[in-house]
Amino acid sequence: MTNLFITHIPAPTPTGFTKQQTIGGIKLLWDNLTTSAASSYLLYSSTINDRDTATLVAEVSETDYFYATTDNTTIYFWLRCRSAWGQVNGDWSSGVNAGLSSQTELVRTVDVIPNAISNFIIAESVGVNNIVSPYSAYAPIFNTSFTSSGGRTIIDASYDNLSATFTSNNLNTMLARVYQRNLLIDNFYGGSDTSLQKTVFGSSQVEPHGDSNPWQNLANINTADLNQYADVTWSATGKADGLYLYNYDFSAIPDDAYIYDVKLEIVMDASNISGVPKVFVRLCWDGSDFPTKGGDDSSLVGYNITASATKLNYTFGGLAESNLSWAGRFIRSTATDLHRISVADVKDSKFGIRIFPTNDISPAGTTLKIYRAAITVSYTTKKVIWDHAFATNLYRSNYAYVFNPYKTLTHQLENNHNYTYRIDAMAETSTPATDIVNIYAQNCFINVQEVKR
Amino acid sequence: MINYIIFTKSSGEINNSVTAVADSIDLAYIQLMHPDFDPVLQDFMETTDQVSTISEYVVSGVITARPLFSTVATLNKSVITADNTDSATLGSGLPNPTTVVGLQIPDGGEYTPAITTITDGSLVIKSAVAGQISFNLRAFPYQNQLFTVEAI
Repeated sequence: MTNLFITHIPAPTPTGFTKQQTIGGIKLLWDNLTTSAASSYLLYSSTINDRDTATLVAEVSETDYFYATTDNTTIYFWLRCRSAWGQVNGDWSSGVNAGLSSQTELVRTVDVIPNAISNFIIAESVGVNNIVSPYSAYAPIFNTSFTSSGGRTIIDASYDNLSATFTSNNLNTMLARVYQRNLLIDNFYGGSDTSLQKTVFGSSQVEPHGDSNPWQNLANINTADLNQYADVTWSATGKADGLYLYNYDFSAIPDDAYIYDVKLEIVMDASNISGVPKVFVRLCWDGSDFPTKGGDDSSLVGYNITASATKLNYTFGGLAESNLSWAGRFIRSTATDLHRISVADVKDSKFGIRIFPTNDISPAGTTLKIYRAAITVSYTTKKVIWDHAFATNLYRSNYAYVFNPYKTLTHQLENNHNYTYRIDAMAETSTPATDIVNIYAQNCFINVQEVKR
Repeated sequence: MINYIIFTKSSGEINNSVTAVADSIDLAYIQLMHPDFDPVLQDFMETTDQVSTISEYVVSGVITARPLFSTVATLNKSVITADNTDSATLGSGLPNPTTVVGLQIPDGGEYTPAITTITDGSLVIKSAVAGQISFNLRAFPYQNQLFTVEAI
């Protein structure tokens, strides 16, 4: 049998553990391992070089600690990390009998020069290949790193026309994210990922098929009660009316949001399944008058459902269907509007679901019942901060994705802390495969300014 | 409107299912509308109804339902204790090979080595970390399916 065993990620091993002997105590410093999933650091000490005798001094989230002492005794230190998931399960900074030793200084010998800035680096762009589960990868566009020593500091870094290479054949979305001190700033400009489900529609319309068996009880499915249903009966001609449900009211979605998924949910059954009754379901998004052509598009594939004799829930699209991602491929085909579905589209009063009982139902007299026809729209209001970016070779087309406008990043810096900012481009694909997608970022830059206090 | 599909000749896998506004379709039409169409590896055919690319495929020219994983293997439990001892088993008749994709594990967890294929018919899942474990299985012509196990 194949085994899938999941264990705790070990906390990282401390690095850069060093000391500064000062008057009145010992300052201990170590590397920031936040990017290696360290959440805090546990400092142990002993007066003899034997870790088994050491006791916990402090657990801190900073990368330094001042150990106050005045008696000039040699102290031995060991450091250990707690992981981002609360586990203290990594290695120590050094061996049992290899503690970091230090004493307090009796005479002050040096001062730190104020207003010094060092280690300002713009890194090379990095290509990303072989995207694997969960089908996304990040490529750093550039990094800036510097140490603030106080006073007024202005860092202005920019880079033009960098590229990163992703391996994919079905590129669904691109996002840009900003990292500060190697932590993702989800809320730097506010925003969140949200899913909004609507089970109630505002309007409905019937597409007559020429028979005299209209839809019944339409108001009944316009509730959250899954015991209520609307129904239609196939006539002797073998046909039944189509149904268009719309005006779902997605007005709560902010106008500057980015739609990244749409999912449909149909709950239905049929009174007789001997004729393999089928229902074809598709979205209508652009508000064209129904039933004239234009409310749907031939390039958008709908779904053919074979109804069951028992009430079942059918969903289409949705993030869990990694290889389906209906909304992820929800690309308009008109030549003048080559972007994914927009907020305006889902807010349009004609945005809705079209349901067509197909012709091959038999025997006549079979009744189709629909208990729910819901739409879930997933969107994000997170912002990106580069001027603009574009991608080529997206999902069998050469669509250009234009990101949100550049915005100034302002953050007050603390003295004597190391800061790293990074802009990443993310490619999210529906399947890992072999085609190459090139992502280009133009005019992306970060401007950091410290205001003198 | 005309319904048609584009499918892979060797496997019968349906690559596109389209409803087009056209009186008829031919090879020239297909190549115009689908620049990526490869007549050596792919074929196309008109269908009476819209065909699902997910749940159907072509067998000897006939639209046929793709089988479900549940006909050959089931998950014996959906909730396990996060003690690295309790386990859930998915088996025992998975096709060889079955590809595992989209594996999602709880935050703070890791697995070694990465599981990409199942060649012996079953999969055993254990976890020391609480949270949701999910993955998709693929083994054409079976329908892709998402499995989820909760470690508590």
